[in-house]
Amino acid sequence: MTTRTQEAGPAESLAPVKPPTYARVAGVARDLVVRWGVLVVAVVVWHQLARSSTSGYFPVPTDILDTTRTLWFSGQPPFVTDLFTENVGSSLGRLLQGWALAVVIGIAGGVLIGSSALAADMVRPLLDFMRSIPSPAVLPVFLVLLGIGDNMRVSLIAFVSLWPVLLNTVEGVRTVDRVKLDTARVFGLGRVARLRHVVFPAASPKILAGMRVALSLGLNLMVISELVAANNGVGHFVDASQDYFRIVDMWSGIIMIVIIGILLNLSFMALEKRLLRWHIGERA
Amino acid sequence: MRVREPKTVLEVEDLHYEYLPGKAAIDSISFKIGEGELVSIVGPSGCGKTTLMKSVAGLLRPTSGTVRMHGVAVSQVPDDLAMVFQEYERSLYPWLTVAENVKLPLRYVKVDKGQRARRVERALAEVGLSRDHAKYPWQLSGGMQQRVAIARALAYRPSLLLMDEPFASVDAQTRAELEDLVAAVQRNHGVTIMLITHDIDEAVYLGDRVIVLTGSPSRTMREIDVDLPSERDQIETKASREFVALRSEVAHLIRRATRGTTETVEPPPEGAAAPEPTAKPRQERILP
Repeated sequence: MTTRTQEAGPAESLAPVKPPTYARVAGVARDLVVRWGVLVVAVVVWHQLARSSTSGYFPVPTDILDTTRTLWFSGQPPFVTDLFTENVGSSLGRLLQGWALAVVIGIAGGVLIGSSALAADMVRPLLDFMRSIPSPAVLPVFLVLLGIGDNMRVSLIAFVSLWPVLLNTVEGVRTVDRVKLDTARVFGLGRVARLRHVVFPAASPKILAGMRVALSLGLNLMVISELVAANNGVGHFVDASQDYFRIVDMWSGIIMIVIIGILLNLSFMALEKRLLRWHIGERA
Repeated sequence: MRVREPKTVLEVEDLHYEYLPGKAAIDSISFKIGEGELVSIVGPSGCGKTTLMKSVAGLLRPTSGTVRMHGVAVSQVPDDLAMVFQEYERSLYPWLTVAENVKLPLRYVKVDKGQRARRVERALAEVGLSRDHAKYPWQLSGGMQQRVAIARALAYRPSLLLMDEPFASVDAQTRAELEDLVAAVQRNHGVTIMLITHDIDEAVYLGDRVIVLTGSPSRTMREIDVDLPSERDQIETKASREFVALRSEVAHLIRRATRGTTETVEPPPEGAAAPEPTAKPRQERILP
């Protein structure tokens, strides 16, 4: 028993030595500058340029931020306005519906295709082709097929988000370690049990990566689809503001899209980190 | 040589495997393993040991010949078989904790929950990992990971345990510890084990019998009974005359196999099996 403790792995490695306070403060400051420095400089430059510009289409960032706050975040607690609920709500609804659809179909299809080497080899060129279509190019097709309603928008988002999920699931399932599958077979795990306990977890890093790409593609298509014949949504708001020459409002809509994108990405990364703790630990 | 012939668990008969038509990895392998026996299988590298293992496990269908477990021909993976792979880090599931890894196969065995938990507990205690239930395999050293794999096999209570070069990827110290662990487990529980190894010392040290295979395409070359006391010790046993004689016998056979002589060697006459250490080399000197 006593000798065994010497076998201890990296889990019991030494705790890092705490550096002195001033060094830690300096470290944090350096980190801040590295992470945010360029952004801050860019905004300052933008501000100076906009101030010296005489064009009304080029408002200063402080005006944009101010308008963003009043238009979207000046309501009763929880502080969002009706404009926010109406437009962000409908946009997010479309995006999440389309994305969820893509995830369900992509994972199911990917597992099916990935379970056979032959099937995977056969459909891979087709998948690569579909993925390579510039997504806005399929918008007219969906308009013709499904009209101008929300079905069209959700389907378009789903269509475009589908390919990265599908491709990554196929690759994830194809590349599950042979030894892990053999182990499961020897220990009497049937097809369904192997899928659940071996194939899915082993493929999950790739599947989740595909889902993340799909989410950002979906966000793009959400905006694009709302530029056409929509009557709500953040994309529609940007488009309509431009029509009425409300340039600052238009810019605030763009800011909102950025915020939505960042928040979605951050939440997804948090989820990914949680689900893949083992993966991160294994590679450390 | 054995007083009571034990019940046969595994019977491999004239196993032949071709990875391509006309290209044989295994020419003809035949042997039996009795209940509670530990049989080591050694041979020159690339002699199809892993192919043999996979055929026995039902992961690979032999081109001809039969594998029987408890007298029944194996056509798919037998349900009372467990295996310890050489690649422990690939064979354990990194998304499961140590205890979950051991428990996973038991989920599909008809035992109630409490008993399942007890089996996991006991198996991990057996391999000295009682305090590591909640750790992940990648937090453990290689030797400890292989202990987890051994615990997983033990908890499954197989009637045959296959070990494919189980200690080939750990350092010498750990290797000796793990060998003694397997020896102890086999003594205490009477597990039937088929151990594939390229290490001659290990084959003799752990085995009740050693089966030597020829080079590829491989055949059974010789079966050697290991008449050593069942209590064995890394230092004492390995220094004993009997051990040294057996080891050199196996080593000579393997050297001959490596030089490409593939004809089956007749077993030496009765009585020559427990020889004077000096008797063997003289016999081998006939070789070129």
